[in-house]
Amino acid sequence: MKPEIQSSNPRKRKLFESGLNDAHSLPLSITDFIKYQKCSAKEAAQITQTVNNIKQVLVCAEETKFDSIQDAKAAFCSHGAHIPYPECGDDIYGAPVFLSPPARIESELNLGHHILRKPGHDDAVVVDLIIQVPPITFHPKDYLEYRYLRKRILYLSYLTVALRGSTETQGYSFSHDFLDGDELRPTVLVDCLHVVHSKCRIRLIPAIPHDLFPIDRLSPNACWADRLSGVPTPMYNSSLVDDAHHLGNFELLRQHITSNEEFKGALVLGSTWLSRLGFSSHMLDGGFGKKEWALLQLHLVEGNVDTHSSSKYAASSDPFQIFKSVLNLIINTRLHPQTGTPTLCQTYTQYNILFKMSRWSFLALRHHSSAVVSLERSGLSSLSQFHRIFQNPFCQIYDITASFRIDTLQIMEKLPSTTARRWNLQHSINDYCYDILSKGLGDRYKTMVFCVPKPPLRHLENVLGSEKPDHDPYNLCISFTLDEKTCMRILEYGPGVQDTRGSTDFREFWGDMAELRRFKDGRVMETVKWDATPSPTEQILGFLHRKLTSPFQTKQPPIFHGCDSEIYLTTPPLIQPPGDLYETAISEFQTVVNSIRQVNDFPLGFRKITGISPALSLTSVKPPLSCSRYLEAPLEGELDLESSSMWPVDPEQRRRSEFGLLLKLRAELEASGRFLTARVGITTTRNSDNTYCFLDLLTKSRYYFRFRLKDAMDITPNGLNINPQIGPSLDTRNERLINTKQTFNLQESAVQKCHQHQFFAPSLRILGKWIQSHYLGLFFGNAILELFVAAVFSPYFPVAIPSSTYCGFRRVIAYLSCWDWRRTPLEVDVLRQFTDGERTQILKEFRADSWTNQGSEACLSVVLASEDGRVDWIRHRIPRLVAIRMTQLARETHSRLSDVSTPFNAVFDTDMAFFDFVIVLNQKYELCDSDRRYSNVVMLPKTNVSSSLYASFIRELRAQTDEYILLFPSPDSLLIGVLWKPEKESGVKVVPRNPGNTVPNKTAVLGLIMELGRGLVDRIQVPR
Amino acid sequence: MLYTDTPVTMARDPSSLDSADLSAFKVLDPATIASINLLPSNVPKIHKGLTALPVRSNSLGAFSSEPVFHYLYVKPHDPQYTPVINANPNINGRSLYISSIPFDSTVHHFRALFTAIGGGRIETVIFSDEPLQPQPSTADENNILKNRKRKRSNPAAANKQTAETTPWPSLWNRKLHLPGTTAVAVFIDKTACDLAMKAVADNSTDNPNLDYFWGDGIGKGNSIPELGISRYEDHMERMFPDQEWAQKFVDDSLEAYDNRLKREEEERRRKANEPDEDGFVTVIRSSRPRPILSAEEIAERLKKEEKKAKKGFYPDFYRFQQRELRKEQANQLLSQFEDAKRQVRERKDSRKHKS
Repeated sequence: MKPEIQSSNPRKRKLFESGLNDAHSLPLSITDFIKYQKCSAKEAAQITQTVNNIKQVLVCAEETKFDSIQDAKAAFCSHGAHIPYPECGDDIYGAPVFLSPPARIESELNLGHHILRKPGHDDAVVVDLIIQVPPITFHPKDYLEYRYLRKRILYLSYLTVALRGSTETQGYSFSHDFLDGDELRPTVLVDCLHVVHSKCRIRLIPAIPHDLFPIDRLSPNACWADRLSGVPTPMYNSSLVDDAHHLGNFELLRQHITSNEEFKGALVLGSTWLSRLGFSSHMLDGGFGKKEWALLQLHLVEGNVDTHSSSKYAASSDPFQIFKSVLNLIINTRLHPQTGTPTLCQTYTQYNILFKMSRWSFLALRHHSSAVVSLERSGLSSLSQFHRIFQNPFCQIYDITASFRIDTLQIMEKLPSTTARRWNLQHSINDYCYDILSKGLGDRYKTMVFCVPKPPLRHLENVLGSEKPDHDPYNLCISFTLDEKTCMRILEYGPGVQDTRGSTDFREFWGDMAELRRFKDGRVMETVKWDATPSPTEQILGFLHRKLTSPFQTKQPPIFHGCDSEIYLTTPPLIQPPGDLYETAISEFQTVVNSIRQVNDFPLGFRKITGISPALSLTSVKPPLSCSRYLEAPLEGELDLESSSMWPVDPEQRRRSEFGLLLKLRAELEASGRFLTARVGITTTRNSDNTYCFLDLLTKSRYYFRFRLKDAMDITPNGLNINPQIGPSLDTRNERLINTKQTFNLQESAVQKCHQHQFFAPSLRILGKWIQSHYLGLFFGNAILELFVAAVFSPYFPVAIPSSTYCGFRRVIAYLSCWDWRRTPLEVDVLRQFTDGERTQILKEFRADSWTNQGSEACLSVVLASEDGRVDWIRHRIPRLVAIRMTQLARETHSRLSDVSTPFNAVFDTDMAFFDFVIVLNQKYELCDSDRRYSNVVMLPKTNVSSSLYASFIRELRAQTDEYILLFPSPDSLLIGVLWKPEKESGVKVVPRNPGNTVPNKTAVLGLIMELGRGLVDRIQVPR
Repeated sequence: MLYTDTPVTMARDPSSLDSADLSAFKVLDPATIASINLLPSNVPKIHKGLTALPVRSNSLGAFSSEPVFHYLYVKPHDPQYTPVINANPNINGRSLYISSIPFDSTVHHFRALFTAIGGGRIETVIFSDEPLQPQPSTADENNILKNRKRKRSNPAAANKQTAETTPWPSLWNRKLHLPGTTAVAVFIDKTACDLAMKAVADNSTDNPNLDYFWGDGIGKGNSIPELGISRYEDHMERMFPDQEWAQKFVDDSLEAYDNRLKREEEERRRKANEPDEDGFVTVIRSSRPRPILSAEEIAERLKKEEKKAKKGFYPDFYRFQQRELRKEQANQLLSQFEDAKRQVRERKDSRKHKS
């Protein structure tokens, strides 16, 4: 029986409905993946039928002749098929217009060759219909003064009228948009709602014969559209050339697609990869989509590239190799040295395939391509590379995102005089902003992605009128991928003092911020120095925003997502700014360690004394504070004694010997007078009754430490394992992994390697905070969270290592949201990558152990690869309900953070509606202020440590009620959310209501809670 | 004199009580309790051969005056299915098996319960989660039945405890039973047991006048430590035993352990000189001191150490060194072989010349 039957809680119902059976989570072969990306044959057939209907109607359209363009416009307007368009160019309204049915109509190749990609969840299947306009429509000089565009629009209106008047296309809706965001070229969109399960949208794209206009004269720097101004119109020229090449490219592509299956596969891979990165043919999405990819691939296989590697891949018969060869081609392409625009021309036609791309998108695409190609250099096998590229959940997660309000009219004044301001203004503004930002950020960034809100689709009109250019302000969102090594640098280096021109430029750019600075090595350079907090990148972006908007006053400050200031200084504070609190605690710990090492009269030497508390590795959610300021659990350390043959063989006697050793150490430390208190305590492990002892030390600075002996129970002097673990498992004792020693060491070294990255620890802190905010802290200790974060700091992903806390956190969340823990283990390949053989073996072993994931318990499996070729497993067992909750929360958080308007701290709001009832504890066991004020009072955190009392209570309550309820304590244990377990799990303490039907005695359980928590539990709250 | 500490400037995180949105919740009220309460009238009297015995509980009294019931399940104890019989061979016919016992059950609770409902007198209660006390093997069931006076057993005498096996101090003042724990209530005789079972049947779910509250009637002499906050405060105290006591505990324990080891060792040595039943003598390692080394042996040892010291630079640490070493050895062997061949040839030649 599913829990939702038992509970009417809607949140819980949703939890179980969330589909975890995503096919993406399973490693697929390349062929299967390509197959999975394509539309079903049934869908394709239905779309083909629709397209054929439209073709039929268009071919049979009646010829029409108008005396003038004005007449034609009026006629189309009366049919409600007018496409508004800005008036421009010379006056040719009196010229007659002859419109006839298309000379040729071709549907998109993807449709005909069954490689049409499945759309996203809410997206429509888009099919392009290339329609050759009969040459008679145009005059040979129509390429001048925007005349071509004007007639192109009339032809689209003509087609629309034909479609509207036909019974074949009844029920279709018509709208118009710009072709790939190019404001020069409108297009008509036909929406067919009832065709398939998903929406289908057909774009009517007019094309012209190659020899209609003198294409060779339409070079980017030529001026044909606006000859009076004399300003070159590269975009107009390129648009015209593009229309002239539609059919030519179509033919070439058809030849290759028909004859080469691998070519088709590579097309699917390319378009999938681009769409996951957020690139499309739309100019505001980078101007590089499936069409441009196909043309690059065509360019490559036509043998137009002399790069050795590209040719090598092109000759291969593997779609993935062809895919990589295209990436190599992108990497080897450079910006045009004079115009600074991305340029890659087809050899025979001089058609620039990349004419729609901006500088930012070109550099971002090159960066992504390099990241993919670098996987091969890192030694990954082809299949592993494929999985890393196409099962990469980190696409479109950036280090920092800035949102600026752009006042188009103001910025337009600042654009260079050579920039076309009438058409595609946002494209030009993006380039301008990119130039400023890239100069200011220098080597601190790797990629920049611009996101501009796209205008909505427009309806065809029935009123005459020209469209005015849209100059409304809009929000420009720029996402940055930073360089981990340089983004936190506080000094900006400029040119040397001897470089007069460079220095002038530098001073002009940075203004008053620029300073001449002499360095120790004698260099004198222009520099800019930033404060240490907030992060230098944030300060630079603020400066650059002022620079972009000056001299105008902007009312809206820029909004940053992912800045440390946003994460740490929100109200209420999510996490205290770490500052030097960690440093103080760590130095205090070192002082204690030195004191312990200085003990002379101790029978054994100390091999190692390590801090195991998360606070001592900068990963605790709260920074460590002294007892006088904040009464918390002690900071834990581990004493590793040198080996000795004198240990008793009997485990019980060994425990007693350890107790004696700690007593001896306590006596020595107390005698040294360096501590306020030193005492030895005993406790039991959570899962067994084994007693172990510890040493508590309270320093004079009021830091509270607890030490225990390392591996006290595991290692005997003879090297025998006293308590061999049956299988690797995660024990909850002190939230540490106690697997075999090797696994533990491996886990430690993997985490240690990750600690080399400066944003590992803060990412872990934020993840801990997230887990605790949703009351899951009881189930996820620091050790397993470390592994979660380590998984995303792997160097074997085609993305850069996170360079901000925000990015690190988001990547972990993205990873958790798509990790199907029922089917695959979490791979932590920080030290080395897994081989294909190992992966197969891992999956085999995982399937063999799949019984562990059955029933009420879920097993989160983690595999670690060691440098010496070993693969170790760590298994973390938690209630299944908790594992599903984790996945559901990760999905929710991931989708919320994908929307930049969501404030960061909103993802830490606890959803109390999830729980069946809540236990509220009394909040009165705090250290009173009078005690806290005096520093020389020996304060023993004993019974007045509320957290310890609460922890003991929760532990016992959990043991007593484990079969009936699941407890979710809040981070401070003052609230405990509770879920009733599904009935099938609570098989023991049930009361038979009718023969064969048992129900839990809920009142008895509630009574138990009140009885056990007498004096601690304030009340129980239930949903209204 | 007291010194004031630096003022606390750090802003505290809001507690979860302040930050959590509990607007969709209400305090547990009588209506909610009534909706989930299992009244005896809804519970069958017999379930899988066990008789339900409802007891009232006052634990939710703060929220509702409506009685809340806990259901115990009782049947005559069949020792065939439990290991209790092995330790207590004399409880046949005078014990009841009780399942679904409350977590805070003690023998006093059961005595008070059966006294209140008119059952017989309980001698002891054996909980399934407690170690079984071995009974004196000489105990005669008939004697116990005849002599109704309580036999004061001496567990210390039965289970002799030495300093070595002294248990660690208990961290809890009272043991609580985990779910699934069962109990066997041993009555003083069969009549008492039958009486108790009859009382259970009379006070089962079909009896509308159930008014016994769990824990009522426990005498003041049988003080049971309280649950709740005092239990956990006491636990925190117990975690840090008196340091002098702890030192003595460890010293005594380890001394006793050492003594035992010594005794065992002596015993072993003694046996080494005595032939066993089959006439064999166990060979053990001698504890005699080794004879003083001769001058040659000392010289040899020094030589070895010298060699070892020379080797201290790890000439075979790197692979290329190992390779060279192997090559050198191979060359040496080759040269030895060549020498040997040459010698053989020379000898043959000399023989030829002689002949």
